[in-house]
Amino acid sequence: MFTRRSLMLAASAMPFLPNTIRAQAGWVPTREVEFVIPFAVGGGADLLARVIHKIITDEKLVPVPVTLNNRPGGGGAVGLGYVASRKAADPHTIILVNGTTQITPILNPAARTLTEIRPSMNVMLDDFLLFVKGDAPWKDAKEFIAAGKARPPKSIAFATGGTTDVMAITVFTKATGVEFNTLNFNSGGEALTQLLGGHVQACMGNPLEFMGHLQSKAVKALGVFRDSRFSALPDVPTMKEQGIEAPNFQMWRGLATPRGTPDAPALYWEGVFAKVVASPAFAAYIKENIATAAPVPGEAFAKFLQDQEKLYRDLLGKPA
Amino acid sequence: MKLRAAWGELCLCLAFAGAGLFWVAIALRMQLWDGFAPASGFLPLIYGVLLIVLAMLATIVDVLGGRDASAEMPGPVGRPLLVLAALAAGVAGIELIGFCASMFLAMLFLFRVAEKRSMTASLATSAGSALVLVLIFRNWLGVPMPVGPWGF
Amino acid sequence: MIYELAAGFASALTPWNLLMCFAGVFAGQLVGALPGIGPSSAIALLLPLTFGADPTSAIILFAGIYYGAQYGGTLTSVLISVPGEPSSVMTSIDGYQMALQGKAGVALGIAAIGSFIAGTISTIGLMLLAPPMARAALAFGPPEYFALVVLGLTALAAVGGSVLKGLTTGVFGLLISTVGIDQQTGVARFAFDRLWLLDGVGFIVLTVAIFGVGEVLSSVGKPTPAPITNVANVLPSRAEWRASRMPILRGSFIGFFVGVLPATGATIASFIAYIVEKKVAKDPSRFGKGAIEGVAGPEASNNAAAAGAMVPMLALGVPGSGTTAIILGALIMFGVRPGPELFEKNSALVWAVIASMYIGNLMLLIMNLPLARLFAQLLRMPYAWLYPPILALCVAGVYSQANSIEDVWMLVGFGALGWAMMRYDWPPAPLILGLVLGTIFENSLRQSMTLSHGSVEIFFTRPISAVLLACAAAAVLAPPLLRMFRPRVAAV
Repeated sequence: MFTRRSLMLAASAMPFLPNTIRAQAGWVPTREVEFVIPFAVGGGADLLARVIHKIITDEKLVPVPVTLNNRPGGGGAVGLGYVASRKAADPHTIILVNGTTQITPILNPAARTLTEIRPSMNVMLDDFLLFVKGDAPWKDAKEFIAAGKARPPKSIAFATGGTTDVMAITVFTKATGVEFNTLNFNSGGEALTQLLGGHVQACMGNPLEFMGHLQSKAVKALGVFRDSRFSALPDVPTMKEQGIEAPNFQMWRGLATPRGTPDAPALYWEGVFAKVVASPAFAAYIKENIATAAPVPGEAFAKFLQDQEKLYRDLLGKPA
Repeated sequence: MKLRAAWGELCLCLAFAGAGLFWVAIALRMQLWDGFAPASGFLPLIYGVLLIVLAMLATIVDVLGGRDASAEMPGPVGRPLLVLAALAAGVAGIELIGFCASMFLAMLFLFRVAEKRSMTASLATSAGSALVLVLIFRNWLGVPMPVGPWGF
Repeated sequence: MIYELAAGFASALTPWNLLMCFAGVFAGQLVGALPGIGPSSAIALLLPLTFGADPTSAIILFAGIYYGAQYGGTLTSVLISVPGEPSSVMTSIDGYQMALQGKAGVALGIAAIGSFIAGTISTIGLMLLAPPMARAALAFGPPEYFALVVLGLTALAAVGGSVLKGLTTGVFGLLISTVGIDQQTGVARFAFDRLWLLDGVGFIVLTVAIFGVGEVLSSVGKPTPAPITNVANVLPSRAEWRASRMPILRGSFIGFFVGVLPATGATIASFIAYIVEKKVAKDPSRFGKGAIEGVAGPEASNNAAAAGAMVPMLALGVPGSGTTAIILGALIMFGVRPGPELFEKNSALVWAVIASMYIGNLMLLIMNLPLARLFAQLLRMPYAWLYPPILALCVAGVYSQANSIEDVWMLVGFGALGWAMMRYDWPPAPLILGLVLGTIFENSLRQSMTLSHGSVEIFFTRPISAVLLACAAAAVLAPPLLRMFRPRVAAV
């Protein structure tokens, strides 16, 4: 797993590549670039892609037009399948990838895996927090686990908004030995509604949907799955601080080019994406979404994905 | 006579029952119950069984039995099949020659062959409709419609 | 409240915000009329353009798109039987029949008037009742949703002609709803290793196929085209207005309450409104043959649901529907943190949006009555000139929804099925109803059973769920009981 420090170093190395180096690399796009979004218009992943698209366009980072192509379906599988079958080795294609596009193929072998792409740059990480209602009797994660152990297994119900939330619960269960009852919903918003209505006792989710309710004390966060405290939520203790040996668990979002993209264009795109991440507009996006900017370029990103794949497969009980 | 009028409907019933049977066959190989709650295969199994039973009942009661004497004979199938074929050909052409050209040809075919309209009016209406759709969907709404080898 | 509302109107009536409101309802009207593209796509497309703009203007624009789309969906449903939005499927049943009888103008007119009344009523509801309604909606957990869906499913047999045929197509719809990734496990079923089936059969694909393509194929097979007369009259007659009054009112309330519930929306609201109208009608046999109540009720209901869905968004900061989820995302982009305190913390924004909804609904009414007359003229053209472009529109709309050519092939296949069903009088509406309700039926059943550790008591011990299930039982048992009772009376 990556330390925050190595991420920062990698990030700082990239944006300031002199233009001459890129010119030596010798590739610039010559025709329209297609930006494939493997999710439906309007979701969180789509919004990120549109922000990146706007930054690329506004700051003229690419000399040709970039068109967006949403190919939703099957948790990203349709979009990745489209790139694999139509766009192999085409450097005029970029694609948004995230944890979901990695998890879907593990559960559904028919889906194309991330081997169909050449990872270009991770751009951000989303945290997972353990949320309970504001008036819940538990003060911290320790008390929550004690309550779970005191009752028969599966007495505490979680609402989830997707596979990634389920995996966070698996991480938690593995670390604590407490079995929970899991109810799966369509979105983080629906899961939050179930928590607010008192139909479930807890949620495992990203800070974004819960932030307004956290501020109004309708919900409270008992812990965060990372090695050090999250700067946006300094009052929330990490799981490790509370003696829970849960690994750093965050969801990544990044960009890629099709498998077989030659080195020169790959380097070109890394340079473009590094500038995107360094832009003030992206920093504003990260802040509003209570996420963490985490630029990890090329090879390091590929390595990171391999580690994540292993972690996900362990959690899902589906060894490769 | 009655049976001849209903043979198409019998096929429809059989298709529904067949779909039910297919679902049952697959659902039986899936997990039916998991812990406290039904698993992936439970409801598909129930739906499949229900569909078979209902399709059979509908066949017996509505199709073979008390069929309305006043029910009009369904019309000829020739023209609908021609239109369906034109639609299918138009869809097949989308990936080959692009949305605009393929829909233009499909509409032109329908106007000329199925409806026997004049060439000028058919050309104008097909071209106009295809262009308006491309203008709205591709240019205004940003839908990446497939394009043909000549770029439209 | 009066003061806040006045301040809201002052803000909504500035020239720029008026322009935004108009742009929103106009764009909403357009995307609503097009099958495939809906308000959520339109908002997502416009979102990047509004970065840096005033959040109030942007939310006025987005809200306008949202409820404007509910008006627009009617247009294509009534005129060419291609539902522009999922929520106008029910409208196309009786609306298109009215069009065939030469009453397209009136159908569109009553839809516009009904939508205006419903939009206004539910905006008043949003204004007065948002916080308590939102808290009440929180009482809906999985068992309550399950019971609500069971109530909806009792209508499977009610929306068509033959009960057996209706049930068969309804169960077929439920069966189709199981295709794709199972939300409870994340694993695909009935997808046969086809990537494009992982998300199942799209609702838009099926409705446009069955109603749009199926209707075209069925019409070209008929020997004589239906005579079209008097298309230009859009104002309902006194009798038509009297028949529509109560359906509009009932539709408004049903739509508002169903819209407030976060997991249901305008589509389910319009289904329930249609069923209610059919159940309370003196002569239910007119439904499906051009009953004006079958247009007025669902149209009022889907529009009221759009305002209802704003309730949980504004009062709780949780999305009430897919489209409001995107508007919530937009709020975050503007630095407005949605949450239970939005009403207090950002009251200027909230009240300006509420005020703009009154204005926008009025704009839509003024815009739609002449438009209804204009578009109704379209039906004067011979059908031979209409149906090829209709088919091309169906293809473009279905393609645009997910940019998927496989969806278009499904359109052809299900279009043929729709034709076969219409040819032999198999009602198509239950099929759509089954597909819509199937997913939420299965999910809420499995969630409830998980929650209760496998006991079905949970459905009967929770009061809301028990009442809804009792209503469902009554809906199924009442007609046969009444039938048993009536002949005896006649025999005496």
